[in-house]
Amino acid sequence: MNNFSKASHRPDSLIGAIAAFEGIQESCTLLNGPIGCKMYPSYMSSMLTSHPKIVLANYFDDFYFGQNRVPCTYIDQQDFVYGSESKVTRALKQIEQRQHGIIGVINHSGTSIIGDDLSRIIQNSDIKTIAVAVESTGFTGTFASGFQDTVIQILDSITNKTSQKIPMSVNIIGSTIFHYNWENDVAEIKRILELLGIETVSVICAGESLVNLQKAAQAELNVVLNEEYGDRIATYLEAKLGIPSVNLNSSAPYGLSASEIWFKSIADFFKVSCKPITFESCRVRKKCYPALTRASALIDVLRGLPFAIFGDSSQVYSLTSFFYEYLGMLPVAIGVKEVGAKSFESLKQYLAKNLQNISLLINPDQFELLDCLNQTAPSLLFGSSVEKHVSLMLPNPPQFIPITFPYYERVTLTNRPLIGFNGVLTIIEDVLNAI
Amino acid sequence: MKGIAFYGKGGIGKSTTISNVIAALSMKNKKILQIGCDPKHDSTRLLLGGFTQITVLEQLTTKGVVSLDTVMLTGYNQVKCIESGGPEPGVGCAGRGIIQTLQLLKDQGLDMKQFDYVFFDVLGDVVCGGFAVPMREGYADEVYIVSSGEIASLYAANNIAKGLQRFTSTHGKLGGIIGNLRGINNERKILEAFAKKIGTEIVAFIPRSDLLPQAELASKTIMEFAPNTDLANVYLAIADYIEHQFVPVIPTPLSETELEEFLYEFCYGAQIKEKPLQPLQVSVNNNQKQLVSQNTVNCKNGVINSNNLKVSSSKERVPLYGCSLTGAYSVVNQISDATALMDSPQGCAYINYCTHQNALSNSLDVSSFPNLLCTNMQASDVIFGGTKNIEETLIYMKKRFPAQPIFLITSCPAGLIGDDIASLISKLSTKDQKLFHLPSDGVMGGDFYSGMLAACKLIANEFIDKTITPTNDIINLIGEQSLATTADSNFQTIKQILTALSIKINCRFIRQTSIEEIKNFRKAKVNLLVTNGPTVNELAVFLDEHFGTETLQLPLPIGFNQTVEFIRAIAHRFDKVDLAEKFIATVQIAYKKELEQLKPCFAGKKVLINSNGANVDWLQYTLMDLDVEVKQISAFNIFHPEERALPKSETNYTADYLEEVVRLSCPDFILSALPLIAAESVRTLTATRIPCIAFPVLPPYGFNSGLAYVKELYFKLQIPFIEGWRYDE
Repeated sequence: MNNFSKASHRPDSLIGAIAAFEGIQESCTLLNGPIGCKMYPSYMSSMLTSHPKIVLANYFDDFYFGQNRVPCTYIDQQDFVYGSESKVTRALKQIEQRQHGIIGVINHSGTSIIGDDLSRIIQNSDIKTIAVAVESTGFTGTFASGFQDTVIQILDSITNKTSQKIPMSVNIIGSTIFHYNWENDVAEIKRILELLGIETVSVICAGESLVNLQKAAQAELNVVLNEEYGDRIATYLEAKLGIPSVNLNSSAPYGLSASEIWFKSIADFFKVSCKPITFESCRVRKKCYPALTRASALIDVLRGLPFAIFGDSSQVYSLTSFFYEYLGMLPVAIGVKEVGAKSFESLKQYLAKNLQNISLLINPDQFELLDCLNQTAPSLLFGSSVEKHVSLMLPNPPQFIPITFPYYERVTLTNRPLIGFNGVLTIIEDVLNAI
Repeated sequence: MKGIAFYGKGGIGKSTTISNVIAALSMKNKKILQIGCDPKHDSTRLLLGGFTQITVLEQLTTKGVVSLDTVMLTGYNQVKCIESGGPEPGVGCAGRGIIQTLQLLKDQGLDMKQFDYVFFDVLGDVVCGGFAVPMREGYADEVYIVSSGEIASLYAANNIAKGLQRFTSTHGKLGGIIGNLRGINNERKILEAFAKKIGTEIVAFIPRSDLLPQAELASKTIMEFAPNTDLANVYLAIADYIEHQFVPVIPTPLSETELEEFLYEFCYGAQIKEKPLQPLQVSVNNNQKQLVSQNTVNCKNGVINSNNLKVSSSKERVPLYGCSLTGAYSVVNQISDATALMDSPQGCAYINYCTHQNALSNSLDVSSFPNLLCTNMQASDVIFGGTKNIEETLIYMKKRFPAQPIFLITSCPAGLIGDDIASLISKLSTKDQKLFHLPSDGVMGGDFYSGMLAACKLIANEFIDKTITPTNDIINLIGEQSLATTADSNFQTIKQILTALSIKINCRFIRQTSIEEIKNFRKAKVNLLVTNGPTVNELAVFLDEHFGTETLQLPLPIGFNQTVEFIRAIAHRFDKVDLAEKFIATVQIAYKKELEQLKPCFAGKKVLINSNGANVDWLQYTLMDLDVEVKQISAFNIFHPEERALPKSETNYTADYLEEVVRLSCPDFILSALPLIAAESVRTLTATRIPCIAFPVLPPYGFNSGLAYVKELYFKLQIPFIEGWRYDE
């Protein structure tokens, strides 16, 4: 593990905390910090979520600065010295008039140092809307940790244990609205769960309504998509609401095998037939086979095709094994961004068993990334905008396929998930078009 | 469980008092936890028989995790003892340390409810957010102030009362004042009067006694060292008070004037005969307070005095757009052979990385990426100071990028903890590789432009070679905006114009340049301002004054008329008038031809122009060339008006006013920099079907910028008033 990462291109726990609140449809996230810190998350949130129609003219007042998401208290030096209480109070009262279902108030790194007591300020502001204070998101925590910590705080405020369970129902945990292609991925998971006869009660803080989040306690099971973004939330829900979890130990459902295993564990829990899973898998395999045959007919282009992949450990583990075993491509460089303890260990073991000479990087900075790509010369590069832009420095840049965030350069309106069985089609389509 | 906090001035005897009170309570078989919240971590020493225990923060720093078994020791009479610990004096943020300690203990499953009493021993000199945490809900139910009758101690006590008043919501928390006597005149009377003034009472007076230092030497409490003494009885009485006689109050702290009057009456009055002259008052008006006023630059050893940064925040209290960290980095990012280190949490660097990556991806020069690394500041850096982390990172970067200058740019947290970065930079900087500190301190150093200006000044002072002699027909470009999407195309336009005049570009200060080019800045005698606004104007004045250059302040070459004016002014300065006129004449023929083709489409039309505050002369002149009647130019004054040249007509429009103007002038169309807002504001637009079309806030430079826009406008006006998708709301 690289403990000396000085990379500057990873979103951190503050962005993760914002993502948690922005993942609730009726939420408003108030950042107790400067305008400079709010512009980016505000822009990203308005790009990535389908919030109701907004009238931009209404957002040129104090706190919003022309952006409809993530107002801030525009902290300056004087506020650092004298505290930000009056601004937070004023902002809360103004935000309340917009009738959100929940307000998240988050201290940025500077205001968390001066120790403004957000909980007390909220209490004294006399607002009626549910408000959750995040006094500190740490300084350099990971995006995933900031997301999980905040989700736990939110759930702590809005859920209560109940004996009224919805039969055959789940909560989906471990996605955020900042994930690349999150809406399509969530839809794919829900689709396959429906095929199994399983209802989704709530997608925890990823585009979900407040009502459905409050109903999370009624689910019989929690399913974890990406370990990095869901393991602690699942543990918390089990302890507080008594809801068990599956898929904490396996990789994320990318590729055929991982998807089969992932959905099968849910079917096993509910003791329902796995036939829909087998059917979906066969459907996808049948559709891919002719295309792969054509692509491999003349020069066998896929076999041994060198690729580099950068993403979170649960995703990288699933996709690497899929590309290597199913498509016959050869990983030459692997980079892990968010580290999930179990999936990272699985990845290491997999590489030790199958691919011992691989370059495995943990949170490389852009210079290390460039060195790695230079040395390994992949033909295909899977990653985010960061890797894409670094690769443009190479004399012969590899073909790039987005799989992880930050990547917001392309609008996706079609139903093209990366996850699940339809995700396999998307990925193979992208690979074949890239080569 | 009852939470009890003892606050008081440093050195007043809090730890001794609290240890003795706890010892007294423990003799009544109470389960007690003491948490020392003083960075000097000697609060529990007497209860532990002189043993200095490992502190929570020390364990966190050395081991990376905190284990309750290690940090919670058992002392006298089974009292549990924890020390928060904290940074060495002069570094880090001790208040933050307390916040983190209490959170860590909670995370480790410390159940305070298992105790009858949890005591917090807290320094009261500075009642900042961190030190006030034990006062908050969930920690102390009662607060006691330990004070002597000395003036400094009373000041601290009054401050604590102020903090306590703030953190008391519905019920009182102040238990009273414990008078720790120092033997000054009228001390009991002073303390009693003070207690009465702030609405509380004296719990007990602890007399001066030789027993106290003797017990300290023996590392014991008085309860253990001299149990059957009058002094021990005082502590027993305090314990009894806490157990049975607590009457909570909300304090009524004194204002500064009231405190002065009180001290004069009870303290100064005893020592001096006349009331002292009123000390110099510094007005602290939230709207007017000016913390910084210097403008000169001191760049020795690469360090700008942070006082030199323009801090518009404290001066004007207008919202600050961006922050000086981003502004400073936007400059360093443009030097191909320099590297930047942000002393910040990763989030600050991430936002900057994305911002600049996007800007670079719009640039013609795709073969570059943000030259930025980050210290990835941790909580331990904030508490104990981050110089070790910074030093390690800088050493790593020095190896990685030998011979490149490295610029260290600081964030808000870095500014708050105040690490001595100047010394570090001085230590690591060598003749072959210089390191520089840009003390932007995030938003504390001001807005984006403040950081940009400070960085430009530092780089100029450090790198421009003053011995170089200017040569003819060569010019520097000043003020190109690194994040503007049009910067590259504008540069190409200016280059084309200058080439037509046989003038070469020397240094782009500072965009897509190198240290070598900056060194040779003085090869050119003349600078050309290629953007406008007070910041670049100030930079130009600075460069002229310090490096003997002459800056041409011309209108920006946007649209035909301004571009002609621009070329003629440059030609005049370089004595190239004939070349310029030939060039203009050639372009003018083509321009007029295109104008004539478009005229039939626009002549006689009426238009309103609605700007966001930017200059729109280029648009106005082009429309006038097409015989369009410009009825009015207005501006929604929402963004940084001070950074833009405002149009000549109305500003600070309201939606109602715009609606009224539309009604009166009946325009054929409205051109707006913010069309969505204008359209939303003019509620009658849909009814009257007046198209509202966008124009660029940052139009491209050159003869044809107005013409090119009008061509687009022609097509846009052919489209149905409302596109089909807009009905699908």
